[in-house]
Amino acid sequence: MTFELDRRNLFSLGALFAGSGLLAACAGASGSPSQGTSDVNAQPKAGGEIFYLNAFENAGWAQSQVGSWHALQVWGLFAEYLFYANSKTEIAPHLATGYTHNADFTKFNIGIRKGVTFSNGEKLDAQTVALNLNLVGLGDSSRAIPRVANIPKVYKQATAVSDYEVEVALTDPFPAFIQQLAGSSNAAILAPATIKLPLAEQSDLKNTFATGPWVVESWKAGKEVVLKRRDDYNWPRPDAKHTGPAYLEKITIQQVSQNLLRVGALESGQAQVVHYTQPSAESRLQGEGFKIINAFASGSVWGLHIRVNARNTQDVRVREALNRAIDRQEIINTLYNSGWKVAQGPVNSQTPWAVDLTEHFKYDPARANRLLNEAGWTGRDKDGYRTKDGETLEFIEYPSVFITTSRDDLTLIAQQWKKVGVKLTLKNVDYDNYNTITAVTIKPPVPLYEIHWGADYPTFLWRWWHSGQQNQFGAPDKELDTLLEQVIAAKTDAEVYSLAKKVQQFVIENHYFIPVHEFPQNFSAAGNLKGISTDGYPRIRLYDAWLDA
Amino acid sequence: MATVAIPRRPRSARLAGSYNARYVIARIGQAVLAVVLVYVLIFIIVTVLPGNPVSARLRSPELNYTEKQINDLLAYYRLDRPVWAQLGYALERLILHGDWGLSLDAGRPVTSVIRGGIPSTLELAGASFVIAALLAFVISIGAFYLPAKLGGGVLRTFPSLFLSMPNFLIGLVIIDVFSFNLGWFKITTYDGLSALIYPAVTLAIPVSAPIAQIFISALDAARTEQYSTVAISKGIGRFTLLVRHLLPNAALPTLTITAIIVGDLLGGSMITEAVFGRPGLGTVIETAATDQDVPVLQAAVTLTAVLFLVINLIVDLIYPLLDPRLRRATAR
Repeated sequence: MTFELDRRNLFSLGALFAGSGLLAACAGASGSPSQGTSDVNAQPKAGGEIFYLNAFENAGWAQSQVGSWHALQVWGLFAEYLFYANSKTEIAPHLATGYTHNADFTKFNIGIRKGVTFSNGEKLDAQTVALNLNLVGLGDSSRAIPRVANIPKVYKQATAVSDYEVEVALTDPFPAFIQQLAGSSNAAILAPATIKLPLAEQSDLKNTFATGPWVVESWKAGKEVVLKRRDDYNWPRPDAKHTGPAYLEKITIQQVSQNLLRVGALESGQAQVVHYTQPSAESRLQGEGFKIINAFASGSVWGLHIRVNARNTQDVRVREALNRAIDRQEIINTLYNSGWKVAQGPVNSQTPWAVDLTEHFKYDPARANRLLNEAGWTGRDKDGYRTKDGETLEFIEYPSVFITTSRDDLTLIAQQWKKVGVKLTLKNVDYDNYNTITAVTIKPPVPLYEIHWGADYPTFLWRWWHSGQQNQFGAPDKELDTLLEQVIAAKTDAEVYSLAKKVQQFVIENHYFIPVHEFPQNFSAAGNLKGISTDGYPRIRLYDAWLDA
Repeated sequence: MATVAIPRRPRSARLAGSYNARYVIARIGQAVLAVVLVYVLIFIIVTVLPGNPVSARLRSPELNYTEKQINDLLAYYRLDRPVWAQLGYALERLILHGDWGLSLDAGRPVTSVIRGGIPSTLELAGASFVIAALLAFVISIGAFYLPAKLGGGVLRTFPSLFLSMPNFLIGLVIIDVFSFNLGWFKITTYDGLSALIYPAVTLAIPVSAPIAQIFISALDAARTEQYSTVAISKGIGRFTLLVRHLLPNAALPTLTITAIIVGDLLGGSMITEAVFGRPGLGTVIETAATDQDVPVLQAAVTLTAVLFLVINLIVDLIYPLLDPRLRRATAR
């Protein structure tokens, strides 16, 4: 259900209904118990409990269900991965010690960390890792457990070659296999006792045994997950600030779907961390001493794919006009705050392989108008929209159901496009049908499709845009396909990065893609919660976090 | 209908047995039939309508499944078989094993998903019902007896005012005032009395409106009846008039609307639970509907239908106890 009100609007509405006297009297009681008067040199203290509020919480927690931005943040608190992306978005080993590969990239040997145990007492070794990887890479249709989509389909098999070394065999070369594995949020390593269960029992968190610094104490479907500290934990990531058990004793993660209620709970001290704060509330929270974390990491900006198999999108002049008619700075100024940035290309500027392509899509309404005239869209309908042969130049879009800011962005873009005579119509679709109705295979195709996805490594561009993969532009482009095939075949980071830049250049020069603004994972936290951070995925990190009394 | 001879019995026994057994059986039979029809209808709607949710979900390019994997998964959920075979299998599973299948969204058994939501929703609906009934009673009696100058007129506008206030807005205002500002309860607590009372009031306010509306007009109507005029002219006290003449006569229409209110309670609980973050049946239904989780939706809607029918059945069976005219009719 989506009925969003700004908290301040709510107050005026509340005054209307409940009598302004009462609310005026109450207003004084509002405050932030956790002002950010931080002592930087204070020593971390162990203990304490925090509440983390999520916009959406899963009803089931089999690993295949934890791919959403909402779920992977929670999953990452108690489940750990072989490799991860650090805050500089470099891939580093965690439960692994490192890896080697053969010359043609069809065999990867992964070393496994010693001395790690799962929360049910089982030991982490090559055998358990092989078991995990085979489920992740192949799935198990007899138990309706799907394979992880981001793992390349060339995955053949993992076998333990010694107690602490696993060999992964691929049917065809895939140099970035490890990067692709590190970038898959549903490829954490779980205890054999967990992954041998049927899907129904794996979905029940009380059966989830992993290696993280917290363990699941209890959970309630669609509502709550309670984590308690694991006292024998001693294998943090190399980027952690301390060793041994985590500081926080208990973390209660709850679903509070209303944006303003999450913020209200934070402000009234009922919660200490909140995921997805509306940008409009950020400045106020900051003024009140709360911490705002906007984690821009490796991955796509918030932007739009143009599906070139849809109506009226084949003409590159029209596509360029759409790109040129967007005033990105106005979007930031109107809807966001100084913590947000306009896009400089298809990926966030923090991405190591990002390239600045601003020149190709800089706001230029005069040029947009000229291009549309040249493309023959010279008529006007009664509302002032351009027409050609009696047809209005109109595009439809379904705002994303996975994030909370799309509709505002698109409403403003519709106003900006109207200035050059292009009509943007926003339509609604429910949570699950979103993927179906916006699928590239649907007829007739939707002309625009949003993106706001993480990408640890350029191979994700291949996943999104190659015509044999997700094919998000909707029509095979031989030149683009060839470039993307070169990306997955390239053997060194330098080579991959340089090809990734060419790919970005290609999609921008051909105006397949409309970059709008950079897209962060955003959190707000109480001022007295110290040591909170995010990694390169970005996932929230609470291992070093502690409560200052 | 055949007449059943009613032997002389003590008053209480006479009341209980005062309607025909056939009337009771027929009512129960109708209810059971309705439940079966609801189940089959939902099954057919979701199976026959284009856009099978499971295969649509599996075919999402995001998942990157091969055709074989999709077929394997469809076979796992038995979606590769004809509709009648699916229905037969579903009914067999349900009747023989009490098994509703697996939730597509949660991946857990449907019974466990639904069972998790029932107690909380019953608690909320029950508490709201009591509060709504009390609220409606107080407003109606106040509106009926208080002179307009002393607020009787204002009270008469309350039902329409309550009815026009959206449930979620009442909830948000209550949370903002009592939780965030006064700190009387925490929205992160969803067990115990304080977690129950605020959502229950939220739900009760709009639900009380139709009860109060009907009750007020029924009281008004009863007062203009001849028996009231006669009673008043005989010098009967206001209280006795209310208790002996007006209330029993206003009870029937009020009871009817009360049965219908159950639907409002269930619908309203969905929104109230969402606003207050109370995990319950409403949340389960809402999630299942938005995620096209057919097995859960099917079980939840059937359960709701059962609940609705049971309440209506109870009301049907209470009528004759309240109204001697109906008692005679059903005994015939």
